[in-house]
Amino acid sequence: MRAPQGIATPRRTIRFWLNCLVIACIVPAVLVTTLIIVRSFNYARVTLERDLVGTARALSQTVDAELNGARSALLVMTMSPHLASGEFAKFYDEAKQFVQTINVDNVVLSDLDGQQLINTLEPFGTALPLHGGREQLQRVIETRKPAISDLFVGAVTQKPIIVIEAPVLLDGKPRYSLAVGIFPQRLSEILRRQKMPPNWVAGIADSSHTIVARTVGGEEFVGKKLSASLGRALSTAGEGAFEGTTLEGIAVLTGFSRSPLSGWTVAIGIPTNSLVGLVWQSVVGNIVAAFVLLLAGILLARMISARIGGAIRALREPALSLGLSKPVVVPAIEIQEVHELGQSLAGAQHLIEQRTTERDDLRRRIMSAQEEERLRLAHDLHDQTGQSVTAAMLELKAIENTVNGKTRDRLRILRGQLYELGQMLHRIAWELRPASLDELGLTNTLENYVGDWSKKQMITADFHCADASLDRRSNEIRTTIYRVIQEALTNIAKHAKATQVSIVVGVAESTLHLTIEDNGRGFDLTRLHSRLGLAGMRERLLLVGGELNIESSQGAGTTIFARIPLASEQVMA
Amino acid sequence: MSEKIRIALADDHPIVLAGLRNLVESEADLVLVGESSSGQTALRLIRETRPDVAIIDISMPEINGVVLARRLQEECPDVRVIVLTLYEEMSFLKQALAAGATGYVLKRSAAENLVIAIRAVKRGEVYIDPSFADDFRADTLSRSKPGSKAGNLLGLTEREASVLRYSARGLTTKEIAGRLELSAKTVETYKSRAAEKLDLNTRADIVRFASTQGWLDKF
Repeated sequence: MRAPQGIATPRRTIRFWLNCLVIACIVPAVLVTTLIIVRSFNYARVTLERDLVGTARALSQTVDAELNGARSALLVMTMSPHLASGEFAKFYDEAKQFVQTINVDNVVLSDLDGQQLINTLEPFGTALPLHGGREQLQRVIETRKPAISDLFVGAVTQKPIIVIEAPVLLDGKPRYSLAVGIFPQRLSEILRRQKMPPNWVAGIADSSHTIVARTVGGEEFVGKKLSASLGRALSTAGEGAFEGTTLEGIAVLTGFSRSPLSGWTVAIGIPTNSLVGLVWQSVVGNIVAAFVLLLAGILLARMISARIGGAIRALREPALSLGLSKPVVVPAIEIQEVHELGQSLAGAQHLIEQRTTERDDLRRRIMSAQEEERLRLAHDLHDQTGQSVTAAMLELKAIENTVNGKTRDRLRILRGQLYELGQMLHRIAWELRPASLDELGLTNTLENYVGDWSKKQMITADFHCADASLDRRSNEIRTTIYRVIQEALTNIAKHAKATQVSIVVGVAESTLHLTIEDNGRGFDLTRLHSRLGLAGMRERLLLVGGELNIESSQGAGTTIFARIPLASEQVMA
Repeated sequence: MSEKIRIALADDHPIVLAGLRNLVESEADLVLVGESSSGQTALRLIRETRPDVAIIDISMPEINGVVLARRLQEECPDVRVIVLTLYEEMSFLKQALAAGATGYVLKRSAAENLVIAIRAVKRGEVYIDPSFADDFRADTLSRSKPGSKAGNLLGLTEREASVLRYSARGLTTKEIAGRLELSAKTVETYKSRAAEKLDLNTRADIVRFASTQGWLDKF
């Protein structure tokens, strides 16, 4: 049988495939969860943006409400009878009370030229400076409508302040201007009430984009312009969300809303790194979990593959035994499929044994039939035909005695031919199976055979039988020994170029030893085996439970060791 | 002319028997006293007729020729026995001679030699078919060959003796090497040295020597 050839298929271990399985299971799971995390993040972000804008809108409405409240109160105050009557001292007291009840920081009454007449921040009668926001004053007087100022520095307070101003009309004409001031801190308060996370930034800006209030670093930033990015965003939309940077340079997601009423803007910023951080935390967590799972999976795969592999490897020994015709011992195996394989191996051995037994039996019968056939043939040739030849010769001799001259000579020649025929018949019969094997026993026959062979081949041959019971061994064993010696001597004659042959039969340790040694040229044991008919000898020996060993080397002769166990063999009586 | 030689024939092949009868009757100095076709009847016939020469086949029913020859030697020692047979093996010849036959003629050469053999054995000679002549001499020679001339163990070392002993028992060189914990090469050396010391040329010589030493009985 030839070994399978062709493209070498790469072989992988079970562990490899299990690892593949683990990776195939875990990696998609990790990818899907990561995708889900990112998507949910994006969704959360959209929601967040909407919420941010909503919050900003609500805040700007709150700011509007605050400002509107102050404006309404202001309008009520302009109707004060004390203003109409010019009783400023009384109005001062009224205004003082007013400041305490509504959420404003001061009340200022100015004349049309901008001279402050009353400022609740100062005692009544104190000399007061000019109005801090003369442009707005002019506009209010001209339009006769209340207005909200942007942040400016108050004349009395010398601090940033927002002012809502309304004209005081007497007899339909503007006579004074009344204003309420709101410090930015008050608006900051609105932002603070929202209780936003500390890293969020919320701010309020007036219509000129000046920061009025801010949750982080309020003092520092009030009065400054909004960040450029927010300014740009405000120029395109009244509200929305975008990613930009704060004045401090922090990247933020900003939601903003500008009040259509006041033109003021509320903006809330969430640092993007905190948002991304959240996502990254989830993703990293996911990846770490994936690695842990992978590691656990691979470890598990390793354990499982070790088990399966171990179980399969446990079958190697039985499989090898099967090949060597040794008893197959299948160990206990805990994996069903491998167990079944093991059972199959045991079953295969059983079948092989059965077949071998059947085959050996058949061979034995064939061989014994062959021997019988040879015996019959030899007997027929020798005894029957031989007798007839003998009778014919005797008859010829008798006729010879009755005639003379040429006829007699011819009869003599004919008799000579019959003599040769008889010789030939004997030779053929003897080669088929010597009659002496059955009549006189193996030892005698072998002595005879070896002597005859030696004479014919001109090779010194020496036969020694040290087994006194040789002639009483079973027919099968005797035939085997005879045939093995016959084959060996044929080989020696054909190939060995020997000058001396020694054949020994002996018994040692319940084993019949047959040793055939020559001093010929020998041969390389690794080659030429089949050519020398050794297979035939081996086969014969195998059928009687024996074995064949050969020792030989180039130029150093050959020794054939044949052995037949005698344990089960009964010596024939 | 002296008395005729009285002949008895025993062969289980009728046509051979008929041929032999013709042969004997054609000779003036021979007379046939009886013939039989089995060992048993032949024994009875010879006992009763007491011929000078009994010519018997080896392969016969009931009693074969060799056994018959032995019986005749015991019962009628004065009857000369010629074994007339198809068997050409030396061993048969030896058996026949051991059984007391004084003539051994192959059937193949009966026409030529049987009468000569009859006359020879009658004279008290031993007649053996000419085709055995060479073999017989060679065999006698080989028997006298000095097989156990080296009868002592002097000069044989322990190891050499062990190697020889195992070798005689039929162990391979490899096996001997295994048992004695030696290399195969060393075993070979010991064996050839021992054989040389004892003047043993062949394996059979070694076995014969071992047998004289009693080495083969200890199993």
